[in-house]
Amino acid sequence: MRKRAHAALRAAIGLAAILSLASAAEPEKITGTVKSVDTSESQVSLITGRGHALRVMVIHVKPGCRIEVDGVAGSMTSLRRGQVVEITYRNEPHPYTAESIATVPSAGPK
Amino acid sequence: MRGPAIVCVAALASACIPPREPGTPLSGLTQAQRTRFEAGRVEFQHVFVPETGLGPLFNADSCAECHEDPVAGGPGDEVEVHVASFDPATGFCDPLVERGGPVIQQAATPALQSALGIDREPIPSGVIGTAGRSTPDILGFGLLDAVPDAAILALADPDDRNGDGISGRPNHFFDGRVGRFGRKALVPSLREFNAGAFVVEQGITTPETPTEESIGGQPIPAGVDPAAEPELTGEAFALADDFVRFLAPPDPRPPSRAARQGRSTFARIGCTGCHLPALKTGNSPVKALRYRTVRAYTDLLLHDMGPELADMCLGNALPSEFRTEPLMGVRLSTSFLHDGRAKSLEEAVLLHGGEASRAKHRFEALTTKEREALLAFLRSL
Repeated sequence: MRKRAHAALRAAIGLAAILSLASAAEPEKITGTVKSVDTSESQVSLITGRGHALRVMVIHVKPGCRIEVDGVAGSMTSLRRGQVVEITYRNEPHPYTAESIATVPSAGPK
Repeated sequence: MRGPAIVCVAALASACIPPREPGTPLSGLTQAQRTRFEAGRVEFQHVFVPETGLGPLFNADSCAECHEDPVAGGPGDEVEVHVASFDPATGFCDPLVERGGPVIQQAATPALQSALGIDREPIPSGVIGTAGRSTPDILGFGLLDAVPDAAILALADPDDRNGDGISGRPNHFFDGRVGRFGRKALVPSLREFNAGAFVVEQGITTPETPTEESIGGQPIPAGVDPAAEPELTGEAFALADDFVRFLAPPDPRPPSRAARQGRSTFARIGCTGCHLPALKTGNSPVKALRYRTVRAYTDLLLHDMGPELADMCLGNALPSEFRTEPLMGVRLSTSFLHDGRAKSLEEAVLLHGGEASRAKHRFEALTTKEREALLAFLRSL
């Protein structure tokens, strides 16, 4: 009986460790083109997709999110429509909550 | 003495090899790859119905419904509708995703018709660029996919530093990667193009494109799309992708004397400034695609084609910019240019503008015999 209790305890500790690791996992990354910036809602709309199946993702910009434009620290007001940005995000507390946003060099219009 | 004799025998032997028919696989595939090619053809020709995932908006019920003539993977007579909105002040191109763009599907399943009373996706209102997009052949596109980005970038001359009046530049996808597929060279890879096409053209979701297109930006009404996502398995998609990747470019027809003269004229009047005769592939896990010469007659770059042909922007491509259309297999087409407006090769040449104006004027100045020779060359490709 005691052995069983110990085994259950070990399993619970193991599970908790796995869950804790999962929540501390590396943030995910996505790259796309800025479609719009809404400072009042702290949101950035991003054009992404595969082939001609394009999608617009709404990214939540949390307080303290690091923003870099051309390598220089900035804010949401530094972001412009048409910029290609790499965003690191986590899906908490909202889906696609940005931790950092940085512009990526890309050829623009003539 | 033996060396030249061997060369002559080899030359005669190669001259006797009949040209491959369109729709055949690349030479040099392994048996396993040929097996996947044949299985992939079945997926390419598979006809979807609403119960297996078709729609609710779509342009075709199979890949081969459009890429059909004379074989699966060939050109077709369908002309699609694409839209985008260009802001000249900022240069920003909005593909109108939130209003159903950039591809506006031309058919709807019965369930969607009943739910919303529409038989196609509505075209967004307002100031937009609307474009027709004809169905090209996709033969040899695996080889185009294997051309390194660096080779495309090396051909770019956006500021026309060599002064030839031609200033090609690459397009870039929304994540900044170099594009090459599609009439505006938006899409970086063949796999992405194919994955996108399943959902955009047929409404078939795949593990790589797991969400359906919207209905003019609005969600799909409940109960209209009964099939569970993804509607195509990853393996079925991979087979279809391999079929397209392994399709050989059609061998040119043996050139007549006139066609040989026309090939020289094609270069002399400047057509090869954009329609570059050959590209080289780079390294590839597929031996049949590795370090090959592909006689595609394209540079995969964007060029300004003038205001008469301008329609919509896409990515960095301005409304008047189009990727140089590959000419391999052009003899299989019955209409030409990005929207099929030209009904003959000669008409297509004469509709060129912008950076191609100089070459077009030289074409106009050719004698009738020279023109015929040039067109005979194109009809041999």
